[in-house]
Amino acid sequence: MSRRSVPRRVLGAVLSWGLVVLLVRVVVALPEHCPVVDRDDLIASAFDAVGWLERNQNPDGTWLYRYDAAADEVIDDYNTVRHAGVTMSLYQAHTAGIEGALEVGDRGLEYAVANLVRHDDWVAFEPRSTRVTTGAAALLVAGLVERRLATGDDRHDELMAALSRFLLVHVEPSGAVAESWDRRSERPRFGLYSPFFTGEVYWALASMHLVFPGQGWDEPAARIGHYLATERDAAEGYFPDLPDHWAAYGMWVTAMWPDHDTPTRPMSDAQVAYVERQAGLGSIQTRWESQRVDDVPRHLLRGRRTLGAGLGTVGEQLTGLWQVAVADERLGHLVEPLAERAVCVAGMVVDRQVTEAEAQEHYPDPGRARGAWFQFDITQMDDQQHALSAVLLTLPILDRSEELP
Amino acid sequence: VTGSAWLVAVALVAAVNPPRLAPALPALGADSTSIRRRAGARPGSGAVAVSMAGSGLAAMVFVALAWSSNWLLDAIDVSAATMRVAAGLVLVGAVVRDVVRRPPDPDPALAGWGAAIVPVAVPFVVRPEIGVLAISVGAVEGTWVVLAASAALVGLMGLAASTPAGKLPTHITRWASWLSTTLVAVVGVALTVEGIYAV
Repeated sequence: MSRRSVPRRVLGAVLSWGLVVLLVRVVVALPEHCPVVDRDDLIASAFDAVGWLERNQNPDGTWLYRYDAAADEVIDDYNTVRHAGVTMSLYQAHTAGIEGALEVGDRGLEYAVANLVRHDDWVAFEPRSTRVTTGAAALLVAGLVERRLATGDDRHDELMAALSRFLLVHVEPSGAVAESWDRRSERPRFGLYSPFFTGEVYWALASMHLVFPGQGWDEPAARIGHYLATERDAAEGYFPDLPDHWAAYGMWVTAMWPDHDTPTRPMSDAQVAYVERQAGLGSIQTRWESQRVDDVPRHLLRGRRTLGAGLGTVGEQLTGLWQVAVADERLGHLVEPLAERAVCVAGMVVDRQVTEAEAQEHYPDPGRARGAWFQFDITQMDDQQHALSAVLLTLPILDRSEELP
Repeated sequence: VTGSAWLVAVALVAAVNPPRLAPALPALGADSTSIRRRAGARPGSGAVAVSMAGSGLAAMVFVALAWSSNWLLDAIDVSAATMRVAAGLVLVGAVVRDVVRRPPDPDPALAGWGAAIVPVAVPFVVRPEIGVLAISVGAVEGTWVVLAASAALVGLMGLAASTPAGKLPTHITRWASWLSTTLVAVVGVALTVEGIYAV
């Protein structure tokens, strides 16, 4: 045996360890940054986001849609579904006690009411296009349900029902949801689906059953929920499964339905399995995003940080799923990890929001920057919408953790 | 990460791949009269003692890594799920390495009981892919799984060393080795997917 080459053999082993440790650390197991936040941080962040939506609301109730800070330029565009989404988020903010949110949301609602499409016994929300989306009506319904639950004000009950009847027209027997109504042919565009609207309609109808039990909104909602859990990804060609924060909202509300209890649980086993899969999708997105910093070489490995809207939707998804896990004992094992991921997202959201000082120092128009989330110097109103919702919906998680011994 | 204790325990043993090491083990410790005296007069008993001692040392390293895994992951801000992905990918990489490289030689080795350290512990058993796996298993399934797998490993290494060189048909060790490699490849992919979709 050759003793002289033993050190080389050991050196080879040490080098292989070094190489593997280096590759693991640099390529796979990057540090995950989850800024620590408390309740006050979240409230302050939500307050700033609502402030942005208040300052940047037009007299007709619409909002500044997209702003390029580098050029100090407002980009002329608009999106009806996102208008309804922002309105909904503002009502969530009112529920959470953010002062002024209700008034800003109500001005957005006035714009929607002024731009309704009427047909047969239903109404929908679309100011211009011949493509009347189910998404806009669904988010308007979800927002109005939020408003009603928070204020007790029943003046929009008929509007909610009429919008929901529009949604029903688009629900197929399978539970699939046509993405829009064609104004020219006056028919739903069956066979055309949106990655987002199906979950939005599910949430809207499930919410209607929560507020108006006994009116029959639960059957179509349950049908859509079953479709989402069992068929949607395969039928509509999503692989891997589509991370769907709207479906998470819908399942959350479904888990709260008052007239269902064991053994007729509102959540089927298939939906429970779906929630588990969705929780995994939200979690990997959180871990990936928490590894992103914009310095070289990190962004070469993980890409640039996502949009405020992108990060916000992950937060909405995780918080919605957390609520389902809290409500349904079959998902109890997900409560703690989902809470951890959701709080991580909220920390990132707060950390990436433009503060007042940053707005004054770095942006040409501080009023359009403060409280917003930018990517490549551009912010869009749905960045504020989703980030605001994510922050607000994390509050119950922090509250619950404080209640626990 | 939910984990599967028995599967990762088997994978940990399979990743060491005692059948692949078997041809290199019987020659170890044969030059030492003290080992032969302590281990008994039976042919190959010295190699068995050296192999079990070396894998026992390696087992201590794996158990220490598993035991400190949570502290270690906290210190480097890495979640158990991400570490699981890393473990899976490193296992797959190790499989590729094992496929393209021939099995290790017994030489060079330290003399006598020193052969338990080089080459049995290093580089035969204390390999980086197994270290990374031990950290992941320790963080998810628990240190006891690594402890149990390590105990089985020590026994299997002794068994592998107990076969006199040339007595066991080559195709049997080769098939056993391929079986282990295939299992590790499958588990590596499974761990990667599990880590990706972990909550």
